[in-house]
Amino acid sequence: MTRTVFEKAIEANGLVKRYGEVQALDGVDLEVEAGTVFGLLGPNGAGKSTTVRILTTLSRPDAGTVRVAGVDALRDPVGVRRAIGVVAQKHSTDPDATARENLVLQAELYGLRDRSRVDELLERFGLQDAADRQAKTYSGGMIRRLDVAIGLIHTPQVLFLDEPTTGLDPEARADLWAEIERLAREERMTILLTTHYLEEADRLASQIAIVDRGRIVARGTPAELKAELHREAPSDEPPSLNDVYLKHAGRAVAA
Amino acid sequence: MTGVRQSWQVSLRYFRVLARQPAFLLITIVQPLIWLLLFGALFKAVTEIPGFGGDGDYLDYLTPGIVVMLAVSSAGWTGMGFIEDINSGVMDRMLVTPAWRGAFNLGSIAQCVVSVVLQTLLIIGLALLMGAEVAHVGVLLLVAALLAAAFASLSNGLGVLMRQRESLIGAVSLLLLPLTFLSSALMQLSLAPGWIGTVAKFNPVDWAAVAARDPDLLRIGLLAGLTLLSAWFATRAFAVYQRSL
Repeated sequence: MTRTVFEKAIEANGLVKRYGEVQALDGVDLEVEAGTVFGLLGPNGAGKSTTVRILTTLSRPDAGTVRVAGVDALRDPVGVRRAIGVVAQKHSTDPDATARENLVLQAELYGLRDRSRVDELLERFGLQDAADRQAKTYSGGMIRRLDVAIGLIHTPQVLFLDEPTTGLDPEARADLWAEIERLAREERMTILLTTHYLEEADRLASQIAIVDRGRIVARGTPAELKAELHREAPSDEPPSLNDVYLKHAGRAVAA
Repeated sequence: MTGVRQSWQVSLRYFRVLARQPAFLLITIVQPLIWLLLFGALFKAVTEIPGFGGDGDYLDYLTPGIVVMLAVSSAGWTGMGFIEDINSGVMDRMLVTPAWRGAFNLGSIAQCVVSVVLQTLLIIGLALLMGAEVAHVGVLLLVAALLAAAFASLSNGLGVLMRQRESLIGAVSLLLLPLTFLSSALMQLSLAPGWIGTVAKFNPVDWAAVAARDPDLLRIGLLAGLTLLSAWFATRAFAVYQRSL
């Protein structure tokens, strides 16, 4: 697969999206450097998933421009699809098929015929033993691992993770965090993840943006955002990302 | 061609779902047998009605009728797979790939057509065992395949537009009996009220039933045309769905 070299993995300008009465996005700008992990935070209904859908070519914006992996998403969505991997909030596995069958189908949809990649991923995500059992027999953690494996089948340059660890037990969450860190470090993959878990964003992301009511209300590195808050509202204890979040998105985050 | 290969992989998926449900497989085999037996027994005396053309058993007359009924009812369910995929997240997973979008429809229809052809062979086998004569086997298989392809596309299109399982089930159930009864599937139209004969002229189930008993190019051509029209409808419906995301 040809891999273009690009500096900005994601460039979105002025994204607007309306669903009937609801203004889902009201001028969203995003820029993600290649090889970094970017965290997109925000309350439910803020526009995180809508933004991800547009960046992954599932939706088209009403206005605005999008470039992903150096490709204009509106003019050449197929080109974008070749370079990106997506792990959606909803499970994308076919429960009646086995892990192997799920991975083979996905490989074929990317035009890959070499099955060695399937075996490699099964092993990497600890699914070799369950590889030939139907996915509906898997635990929640296993299904999530399969979701991630499916997203990685074609070695994408940019990976989108929409609330990847929601619903996972602490051990599964820690494993997935380690995998995300590994992908960023060893494979120099650009990763955009949306999350409710501030600890997750704080730990994994080098850049963060907070979206609320269809607009980006804050952006920067976790350290920058905390420092900014500390300057504006000095306190004895250094602010946490939760404090930053509360300030910008103005609503409490459920612990 | 990658498109064909991708369609094949998609259809494999649907085949597997069926193959892994023994109950479903059993019903697929038992249902035509039941229909043949029940309809055959109840309407046995139909052939003695004055005006019933041709000699021979009602079973001879009935067999193509059962085939077309089964083709439509099997095909009618195809859209359920689509609805399931949309609701589960599998459709999105397939849509973010660079795969040819046509593969999703084509794979699903291919699975339906193959299933219907196999069921038709089964019905022919059963009918022969029961002592019937089945003329024009080749044409029977062809019209069954065309009818299945047409109604599978229609079902996929409706499924994608309606997105609710219950609505699709309702629509299919609503259509099946009228389509069957307003045709010559079970009864010669010369013995039915005139208005049924008129309506039947526009009924694809009738085209298939007539052509299976007495092959004619016009009706086969009409069925082929319907298949193309339905495929176009399914593609358009899918495009509408994609734009709504």
